[in-house]
Amino acid sequence: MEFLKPVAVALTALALAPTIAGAANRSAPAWAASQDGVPYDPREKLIAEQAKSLCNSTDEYIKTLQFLRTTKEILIPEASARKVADKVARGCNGAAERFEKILLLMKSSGLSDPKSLETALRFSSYSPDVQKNFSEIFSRAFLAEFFDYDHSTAVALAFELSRDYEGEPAHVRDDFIYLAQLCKDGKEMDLPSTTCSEYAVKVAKLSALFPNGIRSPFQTLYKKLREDRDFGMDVKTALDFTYRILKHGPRAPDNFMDAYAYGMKESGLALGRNQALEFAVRMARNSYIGKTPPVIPAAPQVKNAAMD
Amino acid sequence: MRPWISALFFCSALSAHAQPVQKTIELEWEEVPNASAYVIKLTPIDNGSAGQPLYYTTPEAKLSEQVPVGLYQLRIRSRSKEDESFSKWSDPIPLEVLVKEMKPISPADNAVIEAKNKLSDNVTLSWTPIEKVKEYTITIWTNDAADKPFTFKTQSTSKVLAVKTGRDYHWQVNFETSNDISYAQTPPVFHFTMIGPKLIKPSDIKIGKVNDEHVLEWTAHADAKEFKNRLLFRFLDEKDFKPMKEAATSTGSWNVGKLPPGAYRFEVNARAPQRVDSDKSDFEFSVKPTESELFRR
Repeated sequence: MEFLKPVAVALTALALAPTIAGAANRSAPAWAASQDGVPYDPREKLIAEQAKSLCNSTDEYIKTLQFLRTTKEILIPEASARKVADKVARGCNGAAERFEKILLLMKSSGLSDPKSLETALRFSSYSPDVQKNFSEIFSRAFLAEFFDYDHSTAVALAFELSRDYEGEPAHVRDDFIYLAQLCKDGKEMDLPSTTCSEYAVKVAKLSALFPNGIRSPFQTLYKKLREDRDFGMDVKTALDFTYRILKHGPRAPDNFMDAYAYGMKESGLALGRNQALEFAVRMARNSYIGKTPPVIPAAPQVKNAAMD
Repeated sequence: MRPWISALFFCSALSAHAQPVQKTIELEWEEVPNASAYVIKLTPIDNGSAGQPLYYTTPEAKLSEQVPVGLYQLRIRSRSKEDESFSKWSDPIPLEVLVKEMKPISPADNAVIEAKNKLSDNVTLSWTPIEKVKEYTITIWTNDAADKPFTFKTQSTSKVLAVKTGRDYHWQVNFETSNDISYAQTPPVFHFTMIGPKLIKPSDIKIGKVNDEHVLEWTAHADAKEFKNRLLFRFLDEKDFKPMKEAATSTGSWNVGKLPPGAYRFEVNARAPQRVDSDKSDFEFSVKPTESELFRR
């Protein structure tokens, strides 16, 4: 019965349709699977993305107000404390903790109550990485046991490597901590404290040029220049060359080493040691296109509404 | 018997009368035996002519009276106890009642003088001149030797003396006028203090720590006996220092306790009795938290 065939097909399609829709809700159809085989729900991904921009503001308000009511570090009237808690709450999740940490840090360093409060409020609206970087870098720049900078210099440096830093915050933070410890220990970098601190800051700022920060390239290159019999440089010279090479980015150390080897080789340039070093530095300088070495920016974060 | 006038005393106090100016005079003369009273006659002399005499009667051989300033002729007679008869007037002698107010020119009364030398220095005593004075007699003494004054004579109106530091001095000037009569007044007493030179200010100030407490130390000159210390504080973001604590110490060190982080200013003056305080020495420093204090947070 040929006239019935199309109807039968239509009925079949109808019967199948709910099944297909149900499959989409209960389990992804084969054409919608992700590359690793995990079922891929575009809607869930969007929901997860949205969640990153959502805030538990009441929680942050309560935490802040409780802290201001109980802390002995700063005395603030209840009415003012509520206003402060209100502002902190706009900094979204983690704002109360950032506020508290920076407030205590600034008070401990010798700032007045109003100035400490002002700084802490600013940081409540910054990202956790910015706050953490600021705390770690300021502490080491300010403390007498480390760089012993005056307060304003330490703050300026801390802002430069936190709020105003283009690269990956975790890298520069770890690099700075590592270099500050080297200066404090005085073993690998036996320099007067002012010289060492200036050098450490200079090197830390190169962190954004390297995919995983500056620590490993620094250690590798410095060790080679100090210990390799091709070089055998003293501390000051090795540190100087290390910086001069690293500042040209991640390809520079290899270009330097290759150029030096080639320069010294009889079948290469057959240069003397000093000339070979100069040649190698020249090659290191050409390790990138453009006027300055390219910076690896930080991974995009969800911008805090209060940061706009 | 005529009284013999041997000494005349003038009191230098001015009366409070507006016109004419009066001065208190004090006269003494030898007693006349059997005299019951004495009559004193003061005849004012003005440009050689005599005016209306003033008469005073007294039972004793002395007189203290306020008389107008001017030149007089003085005569005295006695009255007999037995028959109330008067003796003849004594020979006239000139008597000048003057305003003899002397003021110190230097040093000013109650002055505090800083000696150039540690142990002694010269001081010039000078005063306003008085008319018709033949000679001045300066008497000077200290608090602890009031019964042993020094006396100097001079015809000028100043005298340079070497005096020791660390003492309070009192001085007065008597005078003898150019006529043959000695006038002695009860002169005012003036005062001055001679103190040693300014102390050298403390130096080499430093801050240290003993058992977690801050101690300020400095080098002081051997003459300093005490130190006046002040500690001021400001937060690192502030401009002005505010007083925090003060203390006096007898040595070149001051334990100020454990200081909170911030900026400090320490001021110290050296002191010693009868010496000028030293100039102020000051020293600024800052206190930072330790690594453990900061990271503990």
